[in-house]
Formats: sequence, structure tokens, C-alpha cells
Amino acid sequence: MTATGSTTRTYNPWRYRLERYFNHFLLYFGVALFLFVILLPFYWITISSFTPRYQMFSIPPRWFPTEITFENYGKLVNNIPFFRYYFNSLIFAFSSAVVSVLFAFLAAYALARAHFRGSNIIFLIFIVSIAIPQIGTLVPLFELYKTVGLINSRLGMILLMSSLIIPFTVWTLVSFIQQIPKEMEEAAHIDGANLAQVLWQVVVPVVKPAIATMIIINFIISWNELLYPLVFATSSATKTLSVGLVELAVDPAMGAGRPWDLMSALSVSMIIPVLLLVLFFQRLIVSGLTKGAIK
Amino acid sequence: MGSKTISTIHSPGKTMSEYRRPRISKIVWSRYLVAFLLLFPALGLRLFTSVYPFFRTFYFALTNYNPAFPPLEFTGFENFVRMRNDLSVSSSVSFTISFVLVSTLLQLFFGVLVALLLNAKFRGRGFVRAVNLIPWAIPMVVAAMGFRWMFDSEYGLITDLTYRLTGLTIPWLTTSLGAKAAVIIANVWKSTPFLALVFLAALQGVPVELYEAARVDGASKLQTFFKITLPLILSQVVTIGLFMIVWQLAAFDLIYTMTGGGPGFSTSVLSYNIYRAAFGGLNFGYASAISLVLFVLVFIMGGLGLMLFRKVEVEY
Amino acid sequence: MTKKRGLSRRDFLKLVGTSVVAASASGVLQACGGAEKVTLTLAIQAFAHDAMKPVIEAWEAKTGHTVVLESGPTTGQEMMTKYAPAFQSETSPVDVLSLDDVSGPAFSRAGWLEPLDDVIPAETWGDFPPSFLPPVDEDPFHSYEGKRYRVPHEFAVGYFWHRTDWFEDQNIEVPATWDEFVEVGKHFTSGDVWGTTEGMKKPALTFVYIAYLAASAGGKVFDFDEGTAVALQYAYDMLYTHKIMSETVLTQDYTQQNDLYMKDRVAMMRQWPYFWGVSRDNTDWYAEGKADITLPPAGPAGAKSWWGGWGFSLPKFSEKMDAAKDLIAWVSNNENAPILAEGQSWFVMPRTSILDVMKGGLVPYMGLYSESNALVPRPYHPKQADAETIVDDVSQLYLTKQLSLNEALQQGKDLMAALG
Repeated sequence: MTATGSTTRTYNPWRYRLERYFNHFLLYFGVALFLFVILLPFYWITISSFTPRYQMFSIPPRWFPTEITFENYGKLVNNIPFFRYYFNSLIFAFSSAVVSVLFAFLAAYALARAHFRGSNIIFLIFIVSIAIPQIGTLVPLFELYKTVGLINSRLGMILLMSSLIIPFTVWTLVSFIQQIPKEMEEAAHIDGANLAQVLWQVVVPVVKPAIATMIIINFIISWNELLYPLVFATSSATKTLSVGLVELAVDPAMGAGRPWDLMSALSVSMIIPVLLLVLFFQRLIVSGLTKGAIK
Repeated sequence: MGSKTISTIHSPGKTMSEYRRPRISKIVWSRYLVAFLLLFPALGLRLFTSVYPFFRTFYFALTNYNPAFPPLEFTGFENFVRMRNDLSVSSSVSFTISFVLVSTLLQLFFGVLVALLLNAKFRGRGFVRAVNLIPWAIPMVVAAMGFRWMFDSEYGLITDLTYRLTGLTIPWLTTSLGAKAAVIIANVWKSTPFLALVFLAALQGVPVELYEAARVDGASKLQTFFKITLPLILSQVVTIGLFMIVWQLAAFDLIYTMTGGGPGFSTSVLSYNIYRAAFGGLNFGYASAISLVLFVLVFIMGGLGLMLFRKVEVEY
Repeated sequence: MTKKRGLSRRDFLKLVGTSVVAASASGVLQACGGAEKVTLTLAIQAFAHDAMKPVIEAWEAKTGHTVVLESGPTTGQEMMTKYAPAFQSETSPVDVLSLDDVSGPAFSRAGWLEPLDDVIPAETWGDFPPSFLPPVDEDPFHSYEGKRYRVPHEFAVGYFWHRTDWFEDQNIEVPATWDEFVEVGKHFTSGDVWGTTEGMKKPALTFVYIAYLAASAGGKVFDFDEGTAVALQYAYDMLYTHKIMSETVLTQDYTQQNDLYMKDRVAMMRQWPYFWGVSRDNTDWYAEGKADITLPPAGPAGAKSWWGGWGFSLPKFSEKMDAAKDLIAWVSNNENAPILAEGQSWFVMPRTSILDVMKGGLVPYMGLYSESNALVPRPYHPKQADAETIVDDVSQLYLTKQLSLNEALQQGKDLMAALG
């Protein structure tokens, strides 16, 4: 192939070379620009979290730190129930991820395998219900939760969060499960295995990577969730980091307001777990995210 | 266990249908039951937390429900009369639409661009692809907060950057136009990488032979893109575009954290209005009425998007 | 085939198992926390915590209970957003709460607060002059249907602050009227320095400023009358015609406003009493004459400023009601009021126990404003939160040029009418 390319252009090797260099330059320039744009906010938040407060409000802003400090993190721990929020976030995100994937897996199996009348309609309902805006349902949900006593309860928030991500999870898992040949399950059935056994011993081992992927993705989505904890967590016993951050950010506090030092430290603490997941499970995450979209 | 199952599959002579035939009606019936049992947790949860509240909103929209001002009374269309006069709602409707449309178009454009970039061969590609995941993975509240600060008219990094580059001090968050641009930029930054990821996967599915054939034919890069690449990923572009439109109509975190709808109402979106009415003013009835407007908007834009989608499906 | 994958079934089981254990353990932890010893939570704005500490510690020593200070919201809207959901579900994350003039009436009306008439002893109630705390049936901000629900701890006047040092250096008189204010403002405005500034961030803060201007213009903000129109126009002119105030004020909060002032970039401004403490605590910057108070420049109706304030309340749903009652009586009693007032200017009020011992600080200025008839009570509406939001919204729309003045006034009137 390369031979073809060079033969058609051998009449002017200089021009060809120049063009190649230029393309190369363009490519790396594009990559550099991309990295700059993507990493800038990330860089800025991180740098700020290590900048002493008195240096934060300088004009023009300092692009590079001149003094590194950890005092923002210390202040953060003293100012908000940081570890409590962290623990709450972990529980909330992890439980929501597990519950949503469990429920979605069962449903996805039914939808992928059992072709009964109406299965397409149910699948459609799942997908269309994504379109119902989360915010538009808050008032009735609040009313409902008040009646059943689920406000400010972990269980209540986890159920809501799971429900929010179930459609996307079902969608993705269905396409995973459809790829597995049916024969193994049928054989197990014939051997007298009941449904639970088939699921647990035959299907789960095969789709395990998919399940792990979806748990990771759903963990990240739940970890980042703001609206449900904002409305349904009413005390520090259930509030998550996102709520803690927003409480620092939104309230135009008279004395301490817009505490960028605390906010950046909290942001960095909040980013770290998702960043680790992304670094370690990049490939799984990409496969999970693109699975549903590419058919 | 695994090996046992596999050996039984290959037991000769019998096919699946032979096993099944005698008990067909029972199997069909139990299939329904099993399917129901499997679907129940997920479906039940969706009904309970999404479909029921959706319909309940219609009722609340016709009441004066405010927990601080009991009792709840049926007030007919009073909320909608009030809304007609409420500029904060009408300006939110128009900004919601322009926010979503401009964001989505930019996200699609840059998404394809970034996907092409990430598909090219260069050193450190794996690292750059990992970096691409960062905006998707970090919380919207963190991104919004970071951008809020970077756009600050006094201490902001972006304000400083634009000043150094152009010599102009752009009043990002303090003017209507500047704030609108700022939230859209932040939004595009946050979501473009996800789109790029999807498009990249689509690009990787395009057979290499096609490109090589095009190169032999002497097609320019631009021609190759428009004649080969784009048509092949177009259905993905439209699907994701449709998804983003519907999804972003309900965007809340960004506006809430970054501008609070300000200055004035220039960056106020419907979801922010709903939240403010419901949990700032405790006007649950009014908030429900605004929610209905949002539902209608989702319905209309989703419908239009779906029509466009169909058209593309037919053409390619 | 299971061995090939990175995640074995056993690992997977473990994963699921751990999560279930973790989830249930958290529930148990939650149930156990705070069962035996009484730990109360008192929510008040963060900057007041240091001043609260000695008073709180004395109470802890007296009773053996523990108090956690939580930072409370700074505006009524945030207050409602943060606490209304909990109150509606008949729980309360806090036991004693500092409430403002918007959330206080809303919460007492909704029946979420405990009446304080008998909780607070008569000698404490008697410590407030009637001009500050009117009789129960004349005071919609602290009472509802004949009962008191809030005991004031702050007397908030929008004071007019200025740089005496600058005025003296340049031999200029402090402006006494709106016109002079504009002239002086123009004089000081150059380069990085502005004549005046304000924090008008949404939500809630635009109302504060427009109501302040409307007081001097003789307008009733909730009526969107002629006086309100004058006030709005004046604010608009400061921004765009005379340019003595930066457009950034529309998105600025009070911290940014104070920072600007304390970076020597503002000559005069309106600010709440707590700025007395903030400016004087900034020892690197503060010197005499840098943050002095005088009467606000007189508008068409004279030199006026509205006052309101924060007060302590008891959420009805507190699970430690007895201790909470004791705590609220303690922090508001006549012995502790002066201690708090010495600790933070925010707690300086015209109540006898404070005036008896405090002669300096803000007290003379409180007297000045009171004797000069500059004090106007906060505009009242039965739906205070909604009404203030309307003023806030409409003013922002006008000041960001999204509406003309006439449209804004009409819009305001329509919305107020729809409130009922």
C-alpha cells in the first residue's frame, strides 16, 4: 500500500516530505490543543486546592503555583463533615451500582431471551422512560417518599438512583447478552437446572465482564449524582459529597462565601476515586459506554 | 460444572425442538411467569419512581399545593395563567431550547473532530484516549464550579487567557451573552468526550479497505471524510444527537452550580426554574405546572428529533 | 472457562457480599449514632461560630450536653431549600436554628416551629424595646397567630460605609444626597477603583439593595410604585449612565463585595453590620478611617435604610426538645447577649442588656440611624419569600437590560397580583 502511495508521488519527494511534516505537525498540534483544553479545568482545580487562600485572589491569576500547602484540606475536614460525606457517597454510589445492575441484569436477560408478546413494548417503555426528566418528577416523588417515610433514608435514595440508571443499564446488558449463544443455557435447562441455577452458573460467568463494567460505570454516575441527594438527603447522616460541594458553592455566604479553597480541595477529593477507576478500567468503561450506542 | 454442561450440548441425535415439543403450552405459560418475575424489580422500580410521578404531576399542576400554606386546593389553570405572565419562565423556555440546540450541535461537531483525532496514529494515543474520559467521569458539579471560577471576571483563568490572546476583557459571567456562552462552553467541554468515544468506536468499525480504495482513487482527505466516513457514522451521529437533545433539556447541575440562572434570567433553564419554585419557594403546585411545560418540550423536541432520525435511516 | 476472565465467580460473590454487608452496616451505624448522649446541633452562619463558642462552652459545662455548630445558609431561599424538605417529613437535622425574616415567618406559618413564649423567660423578652420587637400581634416577622417563634439575635441595618481617609485626603465632603453621591462616585471612579459597589447576586441579594434604595425613594417595593421606579432607575443609572458601579455587582456576593472594598477599590458602599467585624478583623488592611459609617445619602424621601434581622428558633421536630429549649433560652439570655455582641458585630442589637455595657463599636451608629429617623422596617408581605423573589427577579431583569423600566414595573405588578 505504501508503495502505491510513494510511486504516485515520487515525482516530487520534497513536496511529499513537506506535506508529511506538515500533517504531522498539524496532528500533534491538534493533540496538544486537545490535551490543553481537556486538562485545563482539571489542572486549575488541582493547583488551586494546594494554593494558600491569600494567593487565590490575585490579579492576574497565577498559572503556576508559587507556594504549595495542604492547609485547604485540613480546613475542609474541620469545616464540613467530610469523612461522613465521603462514606455516604461511597455507600450511595456502590449500592446504587449493585442494585441497578442486579435488577437490570434480570430484566435484560428476560428481554434478550424470552421473546414473548409485548417484550418489545416493555423494552420500549424502558427506553422512553429515560425521556421523562428527572427534575419534573421530584415533587410527586417527594410527596410519595414523605408518605412512606423514605426521605433522608439511604434506601430511598439508592432506589431512586438505581431506577434512574436502570434503563441505560438494561439497554447495554441486552446487547451484551444477545451476543452469547443460547445453546449453553438450553443445555443446562435440559440437565434440569432451574432458572436461578442457569443464570448464576451459566449466564453470569459469561457476562461477568459486562456486569463488572456496568457496576463501574454506574458507580461513577451515582458518585457524581447531585439532584436526588440534594433533595432527599436532609441531614449530614445521608448527604453526599456532591451536596457538600454545592452547599459550599451555591450559598452566597456573607462571611466565608465562595470558599474556593475548600471547594477546590473537596473537588479534588471527589475526583480521585473516579479518576482511579478511569485509569484502571479504561477499556471496560469504553466498551460499556459504546456498547449501547453502537449496534 | 461448566465442562459438564458443554458435554451435554453435544449429546448426539436430539435437537432443542424435540425436547420442547411435548410441553409447549406449559413452557409458554411458565415463560410468561418467569419473564414477569425477572422484569418485575426493574419495571416496578421504574413505574414507582418515574411513571407514577409523571402522571401525578398533571394533578399537582392544577392545585395551589404549598406545604407552608395549607390546605391544598384545586385551582384549575391558575398556575398556567400565572406562568403566562412570568418572564422568568418564558425566558427560560427560550434559553433552554437554544442551550440544548447550540450545545448539541457543537458537541456533535467537536465530537466527530475529536474522534478523528483519537483515531489517527500518534505517539501516546492510549494516554490521550484515557484523558478523553476525564470530562465524562468527573462530576458535573465539579466541572461547573471549576468553570465558574475560570470565567470569573477578576480572578478567572479563561478571562486572563482571552485577555492575553485578544487584549479584550470579556465579561463572561456578568453579561447576558457572556454567561450564555460560558455555560454552553462548559457544557460542551463536559459532554463532547463522551460523544467522541462513541464516534471513535463507530470509526473503528469502518473497514480499512474503504479508505485504502479511496486513497488509490486519489481522493483528498476532506473528500474521504465526506464521502466515506461521515455517511458510515451518520446514523450514530443522529442517534446520539437525539439522545443529547432529550437528555440536556433536563440539565440542571451545571446551571445550578455555575450561574444560578443569572445574570438576570439569561442562563435560567426550565429545570432550574422548577427546582427554585419547588424547593426555594415551596410552590409545589407551580413547580408541577412548569414541569408540564418541560414535558411538552421534551415531547416536541424528541418527536422532531425522531422524525429527523427516521429520515436519515431511510436515506442511508 | 471461568479461569480465563480476570474476575472469578468467587471474587464476584465477594464483591456482591461486601456491598450488602457495607450497606446494612451503614444502616446499623446510623441507627446507633447519638442514641445515648445528647448532642445538639445548632445551625448558624459560619462567621458567627467563633463568637458563639464561649457561650456554648459555658452551656456544655453547665449541662453536660454537647453542641455541634453547623454552618447555616445565608439567605432565606437557601434556608427553605435546605430545611423545608426535612421539616415536611417531620424530621429535623438541627435542634436550634438561626432563621432570617423570610424563612422565619414561612416556617412558623407552616407549623414547623415550636412556640417560644414560655421557652424564653419574660426577662429576656422584656430586654427588647418595642421598637425593635413589637407586641406579638403587630410583629409578623417574629410571631404568628399570637405566638412568638423567633427570638432576635441580630439587628440588621444596611449601613452606609465610606473611606474617610480618602475623603479627607482629597478634601471632599461625604455625599449627603443621591446627586452628590453620583458626583462623588464619578470622582473616585477611575481605572480599577469604583465609586461604589454592591452584592446583588441571585437569589435574594438584589432585593436587599433595591429595597434599600426604595426606602430612600419613598417607594413600597412590593407595590412596584413610583418610588420603586425611581429606585430602579437610580440603580440603573449608577451602572450604565454614570458608571460608578461595575456591572459585575449583578453577580457578586457579599464576600466579593467586601473583598473589593478591602482591596482599596471602592470608595463607598451599603453593607450589613457584620462588615464592622469583617473589616476590623482584617488587620493587614484595616486602619482607622478605612471603614466608617455615616447616614446614607438622602433620596427623594430622605436618608433611609431598612432593617430586619436574624433570630433563633426551635424546629418542632427536634428529638431532644428539652435540651434544645434550655439551649435556646441560654444563647438568647441577657447575660450572654453582650458576650455575643462583643464577639461579633452581627450580634449587636438595641436591647437593654447590650446597650448597658457596650458603648463603642456599632452602638453609636445604631443610635445615629435611630435618632435621624433613618430606620424603615423591612417590607412585609404574607408570602414574604415569593414577594421578595419577585422583586429580586424583576429588578435583575431590568438591570441586565432584559426588560425596560415600564415592562419591569408592569411585570412586577402582575406577578404580585397573581400571588394574591
